[in-house]
Amino acid sequence: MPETTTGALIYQILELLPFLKELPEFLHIPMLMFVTGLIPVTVISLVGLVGVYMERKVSAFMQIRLGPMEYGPWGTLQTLADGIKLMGKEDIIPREADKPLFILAPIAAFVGVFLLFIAIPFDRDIIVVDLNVGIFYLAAVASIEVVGIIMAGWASNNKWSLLGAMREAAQVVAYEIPVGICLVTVVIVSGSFSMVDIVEEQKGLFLNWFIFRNPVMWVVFIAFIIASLAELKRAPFDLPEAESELVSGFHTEYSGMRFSIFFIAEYGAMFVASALIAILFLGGYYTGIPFLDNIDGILGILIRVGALFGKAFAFLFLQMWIRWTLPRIRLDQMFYLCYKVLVPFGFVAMIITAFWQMVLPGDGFMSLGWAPGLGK
Amino acid sequence: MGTYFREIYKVSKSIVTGMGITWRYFVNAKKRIVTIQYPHEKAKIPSRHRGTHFLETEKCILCYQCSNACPVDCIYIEGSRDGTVSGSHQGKGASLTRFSIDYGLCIYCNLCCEPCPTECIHMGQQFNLVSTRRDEMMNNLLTDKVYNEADHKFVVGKRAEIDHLAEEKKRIKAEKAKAAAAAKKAAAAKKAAEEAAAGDKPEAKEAGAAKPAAKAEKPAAPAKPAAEAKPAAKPKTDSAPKAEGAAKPAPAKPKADPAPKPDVKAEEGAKPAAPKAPPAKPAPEEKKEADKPVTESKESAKPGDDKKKEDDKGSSSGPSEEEKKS
Repeated sequence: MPETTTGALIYQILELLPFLKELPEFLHIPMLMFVTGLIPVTVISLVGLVGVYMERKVSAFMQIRLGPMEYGPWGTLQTLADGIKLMGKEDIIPREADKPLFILAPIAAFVGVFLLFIAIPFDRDIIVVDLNVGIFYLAAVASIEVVGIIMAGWASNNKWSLLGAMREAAQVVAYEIPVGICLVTVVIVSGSFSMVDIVEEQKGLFLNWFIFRNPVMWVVFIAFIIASLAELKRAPFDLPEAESELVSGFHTEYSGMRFSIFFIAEYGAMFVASALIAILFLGGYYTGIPFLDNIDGILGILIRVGALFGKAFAFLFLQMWIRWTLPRIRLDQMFYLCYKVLVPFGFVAMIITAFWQMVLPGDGFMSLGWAPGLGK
Repeated sequence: MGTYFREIYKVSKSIVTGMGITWRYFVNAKKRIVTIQYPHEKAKIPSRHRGTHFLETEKCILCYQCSNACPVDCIYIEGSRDGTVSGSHQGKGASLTRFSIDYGLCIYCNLCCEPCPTECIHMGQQFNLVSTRRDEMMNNLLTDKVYNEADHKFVVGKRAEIDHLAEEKKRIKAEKAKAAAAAKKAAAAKKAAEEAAAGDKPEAKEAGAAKPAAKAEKPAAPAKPAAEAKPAAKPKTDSAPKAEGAAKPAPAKPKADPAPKPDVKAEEGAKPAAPKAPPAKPAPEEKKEADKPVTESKESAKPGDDKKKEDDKGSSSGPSEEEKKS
């Protein structure tokens, strides 16, 4: 496995960007931070743009509408136009709000999402840092966004915002348990916390994907999708921003650019969750067809990155599909689903997986006997 | 435990069913979409839609029935039936200087179209009536454009001409009426004389009591007045041929004549006919006017004017603004 440490990464980038070497030495690290930071920011923004457009179109088609049609062909530039409009809006801070927190909250939420991108492998080498505790890192950093949201709810000095933020806190804390169980199950199968290792384990035919590893993996897969929906506060778990009850939850008082930062962060987090589902269960950046995965050079990189993005957007679509199908569930139903359904199911699946790994370590159960390690 | 799993099964099943429905909608979206891209495409408007009006000017006879029927008094008509006003739009025996509707007031009730005797005003298909200013809501139906400053200047400028035409007509009429009255007087005098003559005769008959003679004379006696009446009627028609002749066959003309004229004369002129004014008046009144034309018409016009003023004050700023302008 490639040993990518922070130091090694710095040297790699230094080689990629020779003009950095000409700068004085004390500027190397800040410049590197800037350059490397720019990539996730760009990706998040682009994903936000595409995601919002997709959401609008998907919702429109499911409701026999057309959706945005005015700007660009089929309204493709609508999101961009909205972004420009939001930037031009007045910056409103409520008089009774806690100003520093109010300003900091969207940044904190965005930083949470931004940090998630660090551990997402888009290809074997296209990853900011391949941490040897990648999954742990993701599980930990995913909660930072919640901190931002609770800050927003508290700082707004608005009961709707505060209620939304409290619900968010309760929901995320509750759903971290099933998410953790799912992650642990994946770790049991892969034998590593590193994201790249997890994907590399699934190399080869698509039957090597973790979802096919043992007969209960699909339960974990579905549990993870549901739990990630709840973590993302997407419908049907959008209690924190329940429009019919809480106006719009924690971002009731936010407008203009601050609001759009929350929005972009939400879509960034959606993308990360979708990418995580792909990485943990569906072979990550591998297409599942061995000869496509073994292509070298820039074409291979494009195929692999494309595969990850394709899978991620498929799950993004699934999230939207669910959102425009299911009504919002009640608070008690939400907790029932978490503590009484997902947690026990996850536990049982985890224990079965552990035993399965003990008895039948190796490749997918479906390829058992006839295609072990095919294409590796 | 059984209910627990059953519930999970039920929930999963309903979720899958629901997702299937939305998926079908998503996949068949192209066939089903009902959205109309409004500014680019337009929906088919039913033929009886009540949009803004359109006017077939050449049919209009300036009878003011539409503006009388209007419950919100938003139709403003000016023009003359007494002759051709230069530069005006020609209706049927009338020239219109103004036919405008204030769409800030109009309630699209269709009541203006119903009484129109020539069916010249209709509700159209146009429904997009957005404007940024209030006076842009005033639509000139003669040109199908906004009733603008130039239009208003034209209308105000033509009022003198309309008045002039009206006075001219009134003068002619008064002369005719005088002539008619004179003729009538003459006729009446003749008749009285005849009657006196006829009255003498029966007395003579009774006195004389010559039956055969009376019988012989009787047929002659009724014949005589009739014969004499004819010549008596003739001078009438000779002296005022049009006054009588026009009054009977075409009641519409004289009906409209006395009232609209003074109305147009009234300073604001924005409000067309005073509601109580003559259009519905029957022929007998017309005759009265023919008897003493000048005073009668003035009397009938004055109350109308007062009412108009009250209406203007009460109704809206539209006409009052125009008053200021004029």
